[in-house]
Amino acid sequence: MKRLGTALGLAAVCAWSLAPFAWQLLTSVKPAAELEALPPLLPSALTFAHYQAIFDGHPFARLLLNSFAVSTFATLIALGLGSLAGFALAKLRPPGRSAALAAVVALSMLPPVATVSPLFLIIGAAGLRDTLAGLVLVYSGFALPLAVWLMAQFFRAVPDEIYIAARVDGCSAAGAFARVMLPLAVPGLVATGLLVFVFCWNEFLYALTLASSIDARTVPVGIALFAGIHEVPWGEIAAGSVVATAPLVLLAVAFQRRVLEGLTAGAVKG
Amino acid sequence: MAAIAFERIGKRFGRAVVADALSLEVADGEFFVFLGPSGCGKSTLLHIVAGIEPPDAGTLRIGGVDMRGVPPQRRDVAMVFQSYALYPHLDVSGNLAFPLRNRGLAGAALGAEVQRVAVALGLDELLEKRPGELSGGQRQRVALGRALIRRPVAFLMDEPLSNLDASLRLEIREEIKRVHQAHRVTTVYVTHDQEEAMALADRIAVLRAGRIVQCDAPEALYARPADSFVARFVGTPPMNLLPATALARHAAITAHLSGRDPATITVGLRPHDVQARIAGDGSSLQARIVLLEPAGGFSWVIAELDGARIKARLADGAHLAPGVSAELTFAADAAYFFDAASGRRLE
Repeated sequence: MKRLGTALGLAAVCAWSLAPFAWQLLTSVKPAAELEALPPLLPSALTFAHYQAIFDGHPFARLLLNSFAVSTFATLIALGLGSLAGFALAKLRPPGRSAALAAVVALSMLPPVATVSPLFLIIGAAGLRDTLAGLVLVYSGFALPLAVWLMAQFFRAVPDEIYIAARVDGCSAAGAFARVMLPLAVPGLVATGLLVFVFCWNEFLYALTLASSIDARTVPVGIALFAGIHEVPWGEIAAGSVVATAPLVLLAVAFQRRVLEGLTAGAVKG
Repeated sequence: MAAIAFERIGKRFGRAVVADALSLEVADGEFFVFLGPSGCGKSTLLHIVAGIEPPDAGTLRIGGVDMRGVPPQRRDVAMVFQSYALYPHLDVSGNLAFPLRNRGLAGAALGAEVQRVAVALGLDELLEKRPGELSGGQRQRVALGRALIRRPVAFLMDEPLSNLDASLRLEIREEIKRVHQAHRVTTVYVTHDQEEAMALADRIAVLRAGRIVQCDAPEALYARPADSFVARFVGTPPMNLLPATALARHAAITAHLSGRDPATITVGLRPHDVQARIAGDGSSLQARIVLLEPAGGFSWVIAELDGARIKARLADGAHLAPGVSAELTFAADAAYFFDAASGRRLE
């Protein structure tokens, strides 16, 4: 009885989470005539016309490439700086460590909308408006507090003695970081990297504000701009959303085990 | 190999005093033990030697050289930890090779060194295993090997036996002593276990609140404790400490007091030195038996003497039961006398 309840509960949660995506998937393969009609819920015939349309009628490949480039570079920068800072905060005992961590948490609470106007001006002044580099800079900056905080937790979970052993065994602080601490924090790196990548991939507000042309436009903004003045091409929007979601799903599946290890690290002492 | 000198080292964490103007010299090749209750900051002394923690005051010298500003990787000491602290992402061979790789050794020369240490410690069958697949005893052997492999100027050992179960503890203890006798590397060893300290040390420093209460050879520590703290800390079971008033009827004690006020004196008696037997007539010390503790070849007796607890050996052939009255005897020279207020031993 209890197991039946658990199963029902899980099914309900899955349905709740997956229903919008299932709806998008259905919409993306429905013939245009059935798009705004209900019933039928299921399409009478499968069509890939919408998928073809986003790549033919819109520069969707370019959008994907932009998104991929921005997310990848921003993630790499956030991981690089975040793991160095997290390591320093967790193991080097700098003065003012608690204050620094508190500041990091406070910063990560800032809503993006609060920083849009100043960033618009700063990025403009730096000559980076409508460039991928500008978006990379803003995204990595925005993701950094999260990355620092998470990586500090992962490094803290590595026992102090292991770091001390590495130092005594002949490593400099940087050597101990590279040869011992970083390999032990791989699950944390993967989990943090995935979170940052998903944030960058989905980000809309900055992308809309800072990029004005196809040079730096990313997928979320591109899909939003599918809509014309007179009509909303629901089929193409759905197809675009499905294509944009697929890489994230693939990433999550590929790293699922690592992410689970990472997100539960520190809960049980290894 | 090198001597290690602490010169007026001071260290505190907030209010906790780890070292208070602590001075001592560990001789080249000596096995030196810091013995103190848990949580008195003994590990921090090792961290100061290793360069992980700077001292707040004073000078640390290794081989006569002032270590101020010298980072851990250039001090050439090796550490062994209670928690083993093996590198979980490397196999046994990778763990053993780690310190030598850091010095640029590679290839066949590195392999030969790993093999040499692995054979010496009986690890040659385990070289491909990860630390997670090893038992506690095997892990500590790997940790010893990792320390041993680069022939450091000193070993620092931080309670290396505390996580092992009793039988392994004796085995690894012998291993540590054997390694020291074979290589004579200066060793600073930290423990709260006096038995371990006695078995291993050339000299022991008993620590209390950041100060050395007494620093001596194990036998001297046992025979001539500086105060009642050391007296109770060294030797198992711990020494009985009784107010002299409880023993006032014992002729030898009163003779020794020679007119001093018994209320200001504490008498120490090791349980080994006190015999409990059936009360005779007119015997001087009568105690009521509370408990009997068989210890194999003999039994311990816990008795009550004028409201004070005393542990003694059951005399051979004596049969006593809880609740009965017993006579306690001891040789006059077995008693230690301490000042009740300061704890200092009185000659």
